[in-house]
Amino acid sequence: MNRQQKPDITQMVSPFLLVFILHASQIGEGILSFERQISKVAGYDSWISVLLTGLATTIIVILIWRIVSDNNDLIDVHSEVFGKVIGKSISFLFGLYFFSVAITVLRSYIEIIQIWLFRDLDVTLFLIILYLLILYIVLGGFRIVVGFAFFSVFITLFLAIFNYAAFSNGYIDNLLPILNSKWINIIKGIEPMTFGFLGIELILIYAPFIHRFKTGLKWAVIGNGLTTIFYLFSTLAMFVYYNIEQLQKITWPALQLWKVIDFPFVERFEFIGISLHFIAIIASSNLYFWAGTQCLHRISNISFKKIAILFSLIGVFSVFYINSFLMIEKLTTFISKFGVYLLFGYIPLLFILRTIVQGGVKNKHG
Amino acid sequence: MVNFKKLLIFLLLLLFLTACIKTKILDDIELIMMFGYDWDASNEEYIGTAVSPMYGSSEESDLRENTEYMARAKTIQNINSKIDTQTANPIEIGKTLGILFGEKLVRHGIHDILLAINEDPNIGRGIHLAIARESAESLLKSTMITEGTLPRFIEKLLKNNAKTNVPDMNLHDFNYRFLGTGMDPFLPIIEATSSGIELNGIGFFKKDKMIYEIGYDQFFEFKILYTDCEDHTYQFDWEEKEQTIAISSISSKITKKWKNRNQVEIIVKINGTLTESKQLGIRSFKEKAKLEQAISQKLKEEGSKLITEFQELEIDL
Repeated sequence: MNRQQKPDITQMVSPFLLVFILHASQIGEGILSFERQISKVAGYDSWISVLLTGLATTIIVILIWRIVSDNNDLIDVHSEVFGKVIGKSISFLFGLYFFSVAITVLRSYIEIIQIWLFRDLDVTLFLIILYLLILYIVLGGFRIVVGFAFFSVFITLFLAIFNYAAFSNGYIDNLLPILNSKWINIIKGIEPMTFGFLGIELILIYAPFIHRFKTGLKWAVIGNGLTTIFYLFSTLAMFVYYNIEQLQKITWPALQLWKVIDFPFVERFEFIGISLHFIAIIASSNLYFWAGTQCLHRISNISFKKIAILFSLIGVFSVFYINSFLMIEKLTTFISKFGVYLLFGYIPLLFILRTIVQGGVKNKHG
Repeated sequence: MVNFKKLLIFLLLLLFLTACIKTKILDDIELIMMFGYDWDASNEEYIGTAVSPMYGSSEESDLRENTEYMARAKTIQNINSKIDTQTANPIEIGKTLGILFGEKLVRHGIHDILLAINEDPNIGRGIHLAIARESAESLLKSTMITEGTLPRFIEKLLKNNAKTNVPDMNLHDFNYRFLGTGMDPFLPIIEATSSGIELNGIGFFKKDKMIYEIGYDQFFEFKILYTDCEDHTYQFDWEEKEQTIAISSISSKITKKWKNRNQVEIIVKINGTLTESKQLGIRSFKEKAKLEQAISQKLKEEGSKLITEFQELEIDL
């Protein structure tokens, strides 16, 4: 199974698919609950934070394109910058981070199913089935993972349409006056919002799998822009529909909103919404799981399959440790904090270090 | 051979699908259509009444039949599980059409019970709430002949009136006004009379207690001040000419103008059709203007009376 160490053309995907890959990896469980966290900080003006975060992450995307070059990925960059041993151990940490995101995203989605759909769901059994699905997709190779991501974007866009209910039942006045909260709070709102944009760091791993990677930058920026618009629309919908005090008391505002939509044939739309959202969750979890496996596969010589199976077993057994709502909440906060530092701290640092190292190499040759 | 193995594994996996959860078959559950909650002050506990339709074993059985269950407890979940002890099948609350609060309960405060209702994801947000005059229990247990079952009738009554006589107020709107700053909720009041059920008031809350109510006569003034409306009817006593006329198909539109930080001017534009005014005989523009003047004068008076009342009681709307 050494074939995936460095991909050949048969495993690559077109650069325009970056739009879908990026969007799918960014939209996960966060889309259902992020409004609560950002509005806690910046009130009704936190939609500006969404825009600012979109802008900031676009800069990070551009930085990533400067860090990795053609047929190069994070592991190469690490060993180039930090040397073999330190580089590999940092890459190892990255791999673990990817896995923990994958596991957390899945587990928090199951939490929703437990609360909203089936109280008496057998979590262990459900997780086994889920990880079988993930194993199936991930072992199929990067192209299958991307295929799933492609599919999931249409699902999330379709679900976004149903936020219209907010505008027809809501109070547009809520958004006025604009800039009522302090700028410093709006900027602070970037931190919780970044959780929704995590997924950009995955490019560092799958860069060699993109055909003509250099030309992909514009597609990645478009993908990031699509996510920004998506979040912005969702934020505005929630703010029109709820007031801030109410929003703080609701764990999943989007699901509550879907409750008022009813069609003659579906009494309560959220049941369909939650079920369809499953595709988005699986897609984003898949990308993380694939990235984690690939990362560990690259630094060790253990086969891709073995790593994937090992970590899906860990994922199934994690249910015994992550067994309460508080634990999931804690884990999500921790991972999102970690992700923010990674995105806005580590990636710029890596860029600077790499520029210095490359400069040094060039000087030696000169 | 390989394909056969794969197929076998796939079929075996299908077995897992049913094993994850308990199934719910419509015939084997008790669908609660409407809840009523009352407050028992002496024991400090809630009295919950649940109504579910009684489906007979044959198709000819009368669908008007209801069964009511009653339980007392300090928490909502406990009421549900106590009701379970009286039913043959497990109760299911996903189809609840509405929730009624007894008068005693709304005077005592509904904060706790509302949060408990919100907690339950099975209950929709579009359901209608109302206050039951006297007690919700007696209203839900009343045996009157209505169109469809009693819960369906109450739901239709509330839905229909939300379009015409009173502003719309579902569970989400109630929460919105209840939790938001500078807002207080209100609910329609329904009463069981000898002939049927009628909606005869709106109860206004301050925080979570009902402290004020208005009757049918003030519905119109309240609604035009609160929201844009269409297809309304207003009965106007023209005192100068000692005549009563009706204006129908009224549509109104509100604009709010801030005079300064503490003062707001509400301008309501009303369009309507003059009916039942044969004897009056409005034939010239002058007479029409005069009538309009008189109506707007009267509405302004009544409206400001209502507003001062709210201001004195510190009800925010």
